[in-house]
Amino acid sequence: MDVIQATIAIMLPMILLSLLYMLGKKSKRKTGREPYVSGHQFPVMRIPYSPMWLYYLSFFILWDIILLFILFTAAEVSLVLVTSLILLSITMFLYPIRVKRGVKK
Amino acid sequence: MMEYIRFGALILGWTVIMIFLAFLAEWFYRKLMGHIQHRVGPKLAGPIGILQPIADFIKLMNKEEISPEGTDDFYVDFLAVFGVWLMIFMSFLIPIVPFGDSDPQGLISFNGDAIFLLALFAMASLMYIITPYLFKSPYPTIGAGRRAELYLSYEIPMFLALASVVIIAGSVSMSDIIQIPLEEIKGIPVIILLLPAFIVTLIGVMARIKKLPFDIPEAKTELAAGWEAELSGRRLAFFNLLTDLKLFVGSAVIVTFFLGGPLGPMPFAEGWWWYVFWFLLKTFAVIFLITLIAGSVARFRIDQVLELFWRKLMPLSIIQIFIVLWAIW
Repeated sequence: MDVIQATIAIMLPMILLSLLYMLGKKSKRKTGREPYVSGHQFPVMRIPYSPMWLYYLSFFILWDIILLFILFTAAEVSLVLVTSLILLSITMFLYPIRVKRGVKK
Repeated sequence: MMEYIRFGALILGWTVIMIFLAFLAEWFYRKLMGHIQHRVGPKLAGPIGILQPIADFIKLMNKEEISPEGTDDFYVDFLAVFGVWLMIFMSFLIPIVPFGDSDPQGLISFNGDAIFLLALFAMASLMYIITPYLFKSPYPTIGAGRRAELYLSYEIPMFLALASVVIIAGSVSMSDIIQIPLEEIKGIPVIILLLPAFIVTLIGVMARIKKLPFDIPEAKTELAAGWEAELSGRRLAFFNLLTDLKLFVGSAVIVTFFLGGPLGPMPFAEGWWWYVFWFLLKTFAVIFLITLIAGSVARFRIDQVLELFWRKLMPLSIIQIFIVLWAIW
């Protein structure tokens, strides 16, 4: 597979799906805005959540994918492999430790 | 030049076929679930209701789209299209038919495609977590939080289970992995050796596609559809299509890693259609199994899910790694 074929494989489905999406109906309202899709007129509200949660989640996904690469490609136990696993494990436990400290305060 | 045009036509055809297969998988799931619950299931659109998912998709595409206040529309629209694209691109990597004289291989095939496929599968879950946070509404936010907790629980046991298949195959290429379940190691069929991994992956895929008993992010009686409460019109149509594609592609991943993919006996004459037949038969058998479990088990609470994955399936997948290491010793 060359670069042109890879580009075709990435771009063609994206173009097809974007065209299909654009065929869908847009809002008829002037502003196109409602507080909620259900039609309830309660004021808009957002439940507070910690941005740290999202950071942790991003790290976890990164960890997850890197772990996959390491597990699948490791031919033998090496210093790089062990160091990567230790670093990744520390990343994984960062958030629970933070939460625990928060609770103590 | 002709080669690229032919490849482009193949990509477009494959995309359309995958979308129709996803609709077929949804119809199969709904029809079977209907029978399990003593209902008829879809029956009006097309013969035995087979066109119902397509009718639902067209209906949603024609419904007015309501965007809640404070929504970042660009990102919601982008994620709706990107999620579907991600699953279709994943399907290019699954080996179904042989191209030329080779063994069955994916439309895109390279050494390490198994890692790439699973990385894409992990990324697809992000669509369900990021999108609800873009709405200023309590239900999607709670649904997204639950989805994220679900993701943190099923991901590691499932990847460890899939890693055991790769270790036993000794290759990260999908076309090599499909050959493994049909072989024997130390007189034991590999398919038996990998039974714990199969169980963990099946449950992991069910959690990934949010089918019962793992539909906690959208729990309709508690959260009013949770993460998808503020989706409407074409956005909802595309996210439903994404869920259907995940059901089909998730089942196809199980078939590829554990059931020999498209390989099977060819009694009359050899041909590519046998590969397609075996692949579809096995994939729909896995969907049948998923539906049967989904129709028989009540929804778990989030703490029960965490306990199931971290305390039961995680040790099981680690035991599986040791079984595999013993087998290849």
